[in-house]
Parts: sequence; structure tokens; C-alpha cells
Amino acid sequence: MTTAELTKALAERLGVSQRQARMLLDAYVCSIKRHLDKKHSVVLRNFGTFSIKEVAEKRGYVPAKQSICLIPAHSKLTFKAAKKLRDEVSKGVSDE
Amino acid sequence: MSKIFGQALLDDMVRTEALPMPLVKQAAKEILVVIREGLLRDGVVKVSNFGTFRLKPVAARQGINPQTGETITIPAQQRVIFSPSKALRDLIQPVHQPPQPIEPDTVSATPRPQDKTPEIQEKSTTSHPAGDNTASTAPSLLVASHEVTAKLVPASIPAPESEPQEAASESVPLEIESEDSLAVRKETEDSQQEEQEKARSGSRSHEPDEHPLRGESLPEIPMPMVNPHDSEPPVDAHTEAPSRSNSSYYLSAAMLVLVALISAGMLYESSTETSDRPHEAANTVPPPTTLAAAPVTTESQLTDIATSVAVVRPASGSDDTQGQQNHASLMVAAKDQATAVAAVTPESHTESLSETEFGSPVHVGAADYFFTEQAHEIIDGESLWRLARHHYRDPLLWPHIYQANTAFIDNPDHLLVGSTITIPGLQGPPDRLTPHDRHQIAEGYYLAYLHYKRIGREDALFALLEAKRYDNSVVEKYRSRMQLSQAEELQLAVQQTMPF
Repeated sequence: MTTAELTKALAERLGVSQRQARMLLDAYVCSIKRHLDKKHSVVLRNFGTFSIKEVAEKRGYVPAKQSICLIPAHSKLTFKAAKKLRDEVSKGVSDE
Repeated sequence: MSKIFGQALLDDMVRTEALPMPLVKQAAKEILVVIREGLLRDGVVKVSNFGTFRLKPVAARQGINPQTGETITIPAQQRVIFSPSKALRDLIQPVHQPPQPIEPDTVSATPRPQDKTPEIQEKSTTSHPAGDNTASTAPSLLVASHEVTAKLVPASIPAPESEPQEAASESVPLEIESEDSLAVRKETEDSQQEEQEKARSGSRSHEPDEHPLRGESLPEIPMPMVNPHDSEPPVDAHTEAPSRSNSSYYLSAAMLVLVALISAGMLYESSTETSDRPHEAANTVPPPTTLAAAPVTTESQLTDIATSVAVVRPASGSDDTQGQQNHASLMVAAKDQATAVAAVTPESHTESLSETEFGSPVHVGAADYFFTEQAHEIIDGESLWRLARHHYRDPLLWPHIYQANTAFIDNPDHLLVGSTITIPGLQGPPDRLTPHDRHQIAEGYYLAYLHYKRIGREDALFALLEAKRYDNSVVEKYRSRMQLSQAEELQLAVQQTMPF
């Protein structure tokens, strides 16, 4: 599913034009990004949590060069799906 | 790192975009619903300027309940993976520093990235002076040693493949060690001085004789020269070390030796394992000279008689009905023997699948199917690989879809948006494919091979190797039509069918 399809589905559900739906989607995403930029975690109920994880400096291996390197400390974005979402997408998978 | 909940997002949106609150509220709810439905439908949702949500199948696995210790089966599930877009990654981490190569002299003798020996070295050396400075030296030292050993256990496992054996062999002395120090620590908490003395004498009587390693000064780690089975003496030296509370140097030295021995043991173990493997692989490849002796069966349903390809299978596991089939087909095969191209399927347990199953596909009820056939309209961003990953939970089965849609798909690497294809059913799950499934997948790989060959792709042979992996009979069936070079034949001969 692409953004265009997402917008289309959203417009149908909200009963607004696709242009408006896209604006709402962008505003929502922007809002999430603004908070993530401040290093806040964003908790979306029954969907998941976006949080910033600080990764400490560590040693890595470069297979191409076959050498060890030092990966500097950095922060990265993690997403943890809520239990409800996880269960929904896993439904039917475990019943084999 | 405060938490922001949905309502704060809504307020934010209303404030910055000047939108009516009810609409925003509704929109926020629906966006998540649409993303969820998209995940369920396609398995992937791309949100521009944000990232991609993706479903990742996780197979059922064994787990242990940490409270009761009983083994439980964690069911198969799908995880939601989110990979942020470049823009979002840059927002989170604006400056990307490239990985810096480490100078060879600072790198320890083990080239593995997981090996954290230098860090532990630093920790152990820094933690002990603090222990020396405090009033009650012995307990704090014991605490320190206990912590360091606890850190050691997970950190000093460099090779994941040799983990179980190593954990079994190495963790026993380590556990005893940590329990010792734990017990000693508890006693010292109760009453300070006398108990300390007892504990010291206890740990001393544990291993009374002086160990040669204590005398050594160890600024550097003597890495791979040590025999891994000699790991017990340094552990004993370690248990002794706390008793000499005023000289923490010996303790840290013993720690270093311990780390060195464990990692050396890992290296030794993994190297012996890898060196063993080639022999096993060589043994399982059957020599081609044994072909003529084995009984011959023909797949009358599959192979057209013009090409007359015979597939040789070991006779050991054939039951009565198969024996009759074998006998009947032997007569046919004998005539064609002169022109027949013979080959062996090396896996002995594939022989229980009778040949006729391939020709006339087994009709399984729809309820028995792992995946039932369905039509699918191609949307932007989809590929056979992705469709197979989503529907079959194994992307490697993509030729199964290709094989069923050759009329609609010209290039398997490029699907036309808007065209409707059939996603064929799968009788069994990807790890237990039925013979019919495997035949179809092999056919698909063969078709892919033909396509890649036609467009002049250099590594086209991989598709043929995959075809053989799934079903050798398909390769044999078309072998006479393909002009394979000698090198390709050789590669094909080495490739084995997949053990199911």
C-alpha cells in the first residue's frame, strides 16, 4: 500500500476530498515527527510506540573490507507494535 | 524522554494547521485503521516522508518460561517492522559519522566483532581500585568480581553456532564461581569481620595450592595459544583472588586470563567445527559412477518419451506398490536405457514420494490447503518476491506465482500495475511443501532460468540450481533441451535437492 492508496482510502472513510485527506495525513505525520525530533516517544493507543533509542558506540565488522570498525554512538528510531496490532496481524498465522 | 500520547498530537495538529478538532480526531483514528488494514491486505504500507510499515513472519519456536523453567512453544506470528525513511532518519540523527576503522594494534587477536575483550579489560581495571579504596575491602571486591563475571558470561560468546556446547562446557565453572561469591556476599552482609574471615578461609581451602598464573604479570592477553580445556585452573585462581584483598592486580590479571581462555576456546571450537564440515558435505554427495547399478524408474506421466529421461532413485525405501511400479517402469526404461540421461537424487527420504504424484497432482480439499488460490490485482510497488513473502510467507517461492501466470507476466522482475494475476494455492506450508508444490515451484524456477538466459543474465544458472533444489525431475526433464556448459553441469551436479 502506498501513500496514494492510503490517501484514497482515508478520503473515502472521512468523506473528504483526497487533497484534504492528504493534508490531514501529512499534518499527522508531521506532528509525530515534531515530537520525535524533541526525543519524545509517541504512543499511539492500540497501534504502537515510536521511540528514540540511543545506541552506544560499538565495534562492527565490515564484510567488504574484512576489517573491524568503530560504529560511533548514534540514536535511531524504533517502533514497537502494540499488543492488539500484533495479535491482529498474527491472527491465523499461529493456527497451523 | 517523555511520552506523547494521541491527544497531544491532535492538539498539535489543531494548533499548527488550524483544523477543526472533530475532523482531526476522526482523521487520526482513521489513519491508523487504514494503515492496519493495508498491513493486513498487502503486508506493507508506505507513508511518504515517514517510513514503511512491513509485516515480518516469525516462525514458531521453543521457549522456556523463566519462572517455571518449563519448555513452551511460542506460536508463529507476524511482527510489524517499521523502517523510517531517509528524511526521518536524518531528523533523528542529523550528522552521520562514518564507521572509523580501528588500528590493528588496538584490535585483539580475535577478529570477531562481538568479542568485547578490550571493554571488559577496561571495566575490570577501573572497577577494582574503587574496591580497594573502601573501608571493607573484601566484600566490595567480591561484589565487583561478581558483577564482572555476570558481564562476562553474555559478552564472551563470540560464535553463535558454537554457543550451546560452549555454554554447557564453560558456564559450569563460571556459575559455581558466581554462586560462591554470591554466598560469600550474603554472609558478609549479616556480620562483617568474622564471617569475612570464614569466607576467605573457605574460598582459600577450596583450592589451597598456589597457582602459577598468579605470579604472572599480564598487561596483554595471551590469546589463542591456550588449550580451551585448561580453563579450570584460571577459574580457580579467580576464586582465590578475592582472598588477597589488598592486591586487586591479581584479580584483574586472573580475569584477563579467564576472558582470554574463553574466547580462545570459542575460536578453537568454531574452527574445528568448520573444518569438519567439508568432509561431511563431501561424503553426502554420491559419486556419479554408481548410477548404472541403481534401479531405474521412468516418470511416464511427466517426461515425454522422445526425450526419455530416466530418474534413478535408491531402491532401499520402496514399499510393495512402489516396487510394482518400479518393476513395470523398469521394462520401459530398459529399452530407452541407451539414450536415457540418468541422474541420482541423493536424498534418500524423497524416494517415498511416488513418481506418479508429480504427473497427476494430488487433489486436496480446499480446507487442507495452506493457501487457497486467489486472484490479485497488481498495485504499485509489488513484486513476485513480495507477493510470495506475503501470501506464502516465504519469498523464495515466487516462481510458484510466476509459473501459474506466464501468460500475463512477461518479465518476472517487473509486474504491470493494474494487471490481474492468479496467486496459486499452496498445499502445504513452506517448510513442508508437498511434491506437487515442489514440482510447480521447480517449473517456475526453470521458466525463470529460461527468461534470465534469454535476456543474457550471467547468473541465470542460480534459477536452475534452485529448480533442482526443489524438484530434480524438472531439471532432468528439460536437460536435453538446454545446452549446458561443462562448468554448469558440474555446478548442477554438486547442488543437492532440498531435504524435506
